This record gives sequence, C-alpha cells and structure tokens, in this order.
Amino acid sequence: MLDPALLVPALLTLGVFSILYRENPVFRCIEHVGLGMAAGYALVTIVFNGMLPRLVAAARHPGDMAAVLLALPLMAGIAFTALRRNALGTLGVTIAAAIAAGFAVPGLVQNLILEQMRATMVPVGLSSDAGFDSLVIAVCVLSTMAYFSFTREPRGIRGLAAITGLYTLMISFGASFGYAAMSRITLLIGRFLFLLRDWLHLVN
Amino acid sequence: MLRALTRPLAILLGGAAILVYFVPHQAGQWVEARLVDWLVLLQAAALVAGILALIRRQLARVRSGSLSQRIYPMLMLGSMAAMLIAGLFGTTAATAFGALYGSVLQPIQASMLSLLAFYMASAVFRSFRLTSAPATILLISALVVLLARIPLGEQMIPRISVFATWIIRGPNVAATRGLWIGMGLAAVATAFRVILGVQGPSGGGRS
Amino acid sequence: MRISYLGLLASLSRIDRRIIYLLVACAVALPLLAASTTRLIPAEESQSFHRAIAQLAEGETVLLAVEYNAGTAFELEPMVVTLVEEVFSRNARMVVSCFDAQGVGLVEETIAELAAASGKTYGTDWVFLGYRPSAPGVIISLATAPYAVFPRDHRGNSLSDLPLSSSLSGYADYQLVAVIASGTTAQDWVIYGTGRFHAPIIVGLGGGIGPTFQSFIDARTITGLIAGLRGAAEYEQLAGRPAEALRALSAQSTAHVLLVLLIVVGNASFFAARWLERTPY
Repeated sequence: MLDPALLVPALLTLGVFSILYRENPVFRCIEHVGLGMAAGYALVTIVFNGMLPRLVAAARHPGDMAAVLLALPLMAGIAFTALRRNALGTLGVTIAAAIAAGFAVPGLVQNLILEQMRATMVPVGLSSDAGFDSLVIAVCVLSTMAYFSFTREPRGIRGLAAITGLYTLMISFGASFGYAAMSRITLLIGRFLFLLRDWLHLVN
Repeated sequence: MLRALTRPLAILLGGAAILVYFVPHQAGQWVEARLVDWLVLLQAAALVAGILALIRRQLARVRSGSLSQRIYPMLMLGSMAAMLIAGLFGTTAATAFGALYGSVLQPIQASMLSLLAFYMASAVFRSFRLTSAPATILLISALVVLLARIPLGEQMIPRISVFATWIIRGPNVAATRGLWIGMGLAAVATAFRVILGVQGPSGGGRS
Repeated sequence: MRISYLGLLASLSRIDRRIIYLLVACAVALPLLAASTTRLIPAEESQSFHRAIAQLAEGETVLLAVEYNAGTAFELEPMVVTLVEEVFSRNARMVVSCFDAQGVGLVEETIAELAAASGKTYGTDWVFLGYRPSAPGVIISLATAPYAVFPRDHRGNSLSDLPLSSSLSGYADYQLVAVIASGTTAQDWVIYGTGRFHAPIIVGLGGGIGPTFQSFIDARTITGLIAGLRGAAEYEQLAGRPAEALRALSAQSTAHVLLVLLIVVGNASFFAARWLERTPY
C-alpha cells in the first residue's frame, strides 16, 4: 500500500476523482501534468520511433534514389513545422493530403461502397426468415439513405422512406449508446480494480 | 515557383497513389513505397507541428496571464520537458521515461477517461427523455442492448438476447450500412477534390 | 396523498449529481469485492474470431495491429492477452505493430511478459515493430514494402538481422491479421488493408464503435469481431482462458442495471414534474 510504485498512481487516481466532488486545484494540476506528459511522450515517440530510424537509414545510403527523394518531404515537413504559412509548408500539406486521398480511393470504392451494396443485394422474400431479414435490411438501408437526401422536399413515398430511415437510425444509435455506455463503465472498472486489488489488496 | 508546382504535383502524386493499387508490377510497388515513405514523414511532421503549436500557446499563456493563471501552463510545460529529457536517455520500460509513463501518465489517462462513466450516468438520469417517438425508439433500443449484454439481464429476461441480436444484425446493420455507403461516396468525392486541387491547401483558398 | 407521492417523484429530478456518482461507484466496486464468473453464450462473430486463431498451424505468422493507450487499455488489453497466449500456445509467430503513439510502452510490456511466460524468443517467435505515424501509410507498407517504413524494430534492431522479420516481404507472409483498436485504426484497416492483405482479418474493438462494424461482418470484409468487455469475455471463455474480462462482467452487470434504473426513474420524475405543473391544485 505504501509502495511508491502503487502509492503515486493511486493518489493520482484519487486526485482525478476529486473533481466529482467539486472543482479543485489538485485536479487542475493533475490534468495539466497529464496533458504535458502525454504531449511529451507522443513527441518523443514520433521523433525517435517514427522519424529518426527512417532518416538515419536514408542518411546511411545517400546515393540511394529513395533517400534522395526523401529530401523534398523532409524540407517540406521542416517548413510546415515552422508554424507560419509558407509555400514549402503548403506544398508539404498538399502532397500529404493528395497521397492519402489517392491511397484511400480504391479501398473506399471497394470496401465502403461496392461490398456494402453487394451485401445488401441478396435474395429477399417473405417465405423464409433469412429472406425476410434481408428484405428488412434492404428497405432500411434505402430508407437511411433517403433520410440524408435533401434534394427534394420529403413528401409522399419519399417522406415515408425518410421517416423509416430516421427510425432505423434511432434504433442503431440506441444500440451504439448501449455499447458506448458499456465501454465507459469498463474503463471505470479498470480503475476500481487497480485501487481495490493492486493497491489496497481487498480483492484477490 | 513553388505555388505553381503545388497543384500539378498534387494531381501527379494523388493520381499515382490511385494507379499503383492496380499495378502489381515491381515499378508500381517501388513508387508505392516512395509515396508511403513521403506520407509517413509528412504526417509525422504534422503531428510535431501540432505539439509545437501547443507549446507556443502555453508559452503565450505563461507570458500574458497573472501569477495564478501562469501556474497551470507552467506545470504543463514542465511535465512535457521532464518527459522529453527522460526520453533522451532511452524509451524502454526500464528507463526513467518508462517509469514516468507507468507511474504518472498511465494512471492519469486511465482515470480521466473513467470519469466519463460518472458523467454519463448523470446525463442519462437528467437528459434521456421519452419526449418524442424517435427518442422513445432510441431509448428502448439502448435499454435492450444494455440489459442483453450482461449475464444478469439475460437471467432476468430470457429472450432479451434474441431481441438485442436482431437489433444489432437487423436495423443497426441497415443504418450503419447506409451511413458507410454515404460516407464512402462523400469521401471519394472529397478525395478527388483534394487531388484535383479544388479543395485543400493548393486550391479553393482554404487550408 | 397521490400528489405528495408525485411531488416526491418529481423532486428526484433535482437530486444532487454526487449521489448519482456515489451510486455508480458502489455499483462498480461492490461486485468486485465479491467476484464471481458466469458462463456466457458467445455470439457468432466471437466464435468466428476465436475460430480464425484456433485454425492457425505451427510456424504460421500473425500480424497483430494494436491501437490503445492507458486510457482505453482495460477494455482492449484482455483481448490482446488472450489472443497472444493462444497464438503462442499454437507455436505460431507474431509480428506486432502499434498504432497509438501513447500506447507503445504499454503494448510492448504486455506482450514481452506474455512471451517470456510462454518461453518465446524475441526475433524468432515475435517481433515488435513499434509505432510509426500515418496508419494508412503503415498498413500499405506492411502489405507491400515493410522495410520502407520500418527499417528497424522498436528496440533498434535492424529487421533484416532478426530471423522472423528477415523473411517478411509483404502480405503473402501472413496467415492472419488481427486488429485490436479503440479508435479509427480498425476503419483504416477496412479501407486500406482488406484489398491488400489476402489473409482473413479479425477485429477486436472498444465498445463505442462495435455495432458500426457489424455490417463488415455481413459483407465478409472482416472474418471475426469482438466488441467491448462482453466480446473480450466471450473470447476468454471460447479460448478456455478465463481472466480479467470474465471477472469484470459482474461489476459491468450491476452498473448496467443501475443505468437502466436511472433512465426509468429519471423519466418517471420528469413526467411527474410535468403533470404537477399542468395540474391546477
């Protein structure tokens, strides 16, 4: 219980939980220490693990075409981190955005559009459970998309589809809320297990 | 000169990034590896720029605020500096960097996120209301899933798991599928706008 | 008399938030003191998740992509622990990549402990690549040119010097891809990874985004799915390794029941207050 390796984390945990009682400077101090350390940790990881190994490898083979080509993004990256808008920095951002966008296009078309459409276009019917479920899903998918169609006023069959889409979305959001609640509670259980088991040894 | 190059370069590199997916040739893979190399380095630079912006903002707060207002940004900068200095001497668990992470940052991060459970409970008590038909449907769906995902709920209402599974595999799949398809279409359109320079830093006047 | 009951009910809406916090704390803490485990009926997606790992043969290689930090560790670490134990017990090999800059130390420590307990050697049975920025870049690189982004592993070894990683050239070297993620990395794997990797992809997710991935199971974009503590507990049971997730489920149960009661009482109180406002006496 008095082992510093457990006492410090336990006191920090209790310090964070103190905000539940009321606003206090202890919580604010811990909050800012956490933010600073998180930024410092991320900076070290990004620089030492994310950038340096590749740059060192490139520096060891300066004649290599791949290493030479790395000079442009490196300069653009340095210009970008200068935090003032400049042409080289803008070039770096543009290159990164264009490459990321280009890489995404085939996957978006294949996995978010075509595969999802293929999974919807399956035999439907009222005679079997599977056929009926497929029919419900197909109708609800179309209705959900109709709900987000704003080109014309939703009247008649369009209005009915939009309402069905809204209710479908609400069912889905309800399910997502249930899972999100589960997730938050799980994280709290983790902290309580630390306090009760690891620190106070009240739980085996 | 550089500004004139920006848009053609975006079209060239973005177009190449699309095409290499369909070219299993070694040359295509070499180009893909270079594009990935660039992307990783530039995104790392973007993350570093973000953290530098945070440092600048905190320095400005230290300079401008009163003594009581200076304490928190100073604490933030001090703890960041401690982590950076510790990181210079190694980043494994056995180093000071690892010890600071394990005994200070880890409990703070875990506790901060776990606070959300308390706030969520308070919010559902005060704001989750049966005030309209869509809200009622959302609430019923949430209640069913909340009870069905725990052993106690399955014991109290035996058929609730079947209903929850139907919600997850039926309407939930339909709604998310509609959203994924819509997101996919919008993302493809945006990707082409970025590559062609209609949107983003090289065009449209926005960055 | 009826009015006074309603008044009492209506007054509950003004209850101090700290009482609700105390109820939440009790609902979570008390079941932990009297811990018990129950048997679950695993979902089809959890069974597919487990089956994909159970089918691994000796010497096959798993690519494990992990994205969590200290904040979300308790939800996802049980998944990683069971998965790594199962993979090692089948004498399969593992390449691990971390997608969260703030989770690198945590992930390496966890897997190193499990590897030591299973008697596995670093470099031969498993390799930790560490963290690199840009999830899309890393995913594409792992599929086609791993050395472009990872010239060295997290410990500074050259990948071409380690027996396991020296044999890696891309997607064809992996028999299974497992993604355990709390954020958008799983979505990145769906968009960038599924077309490039030919191996089946299984996904373990934080509860918040779990239901949104069900449509990828139906579309067969991913093979298996476990979400949240419930998913982790089902997987522990299927793997025959009951641990943290199954144990925490009792506390999860009481907390969920409390949430349901809060919703019901909150609404009853709201409508009671509204009825009293509209009633003239």
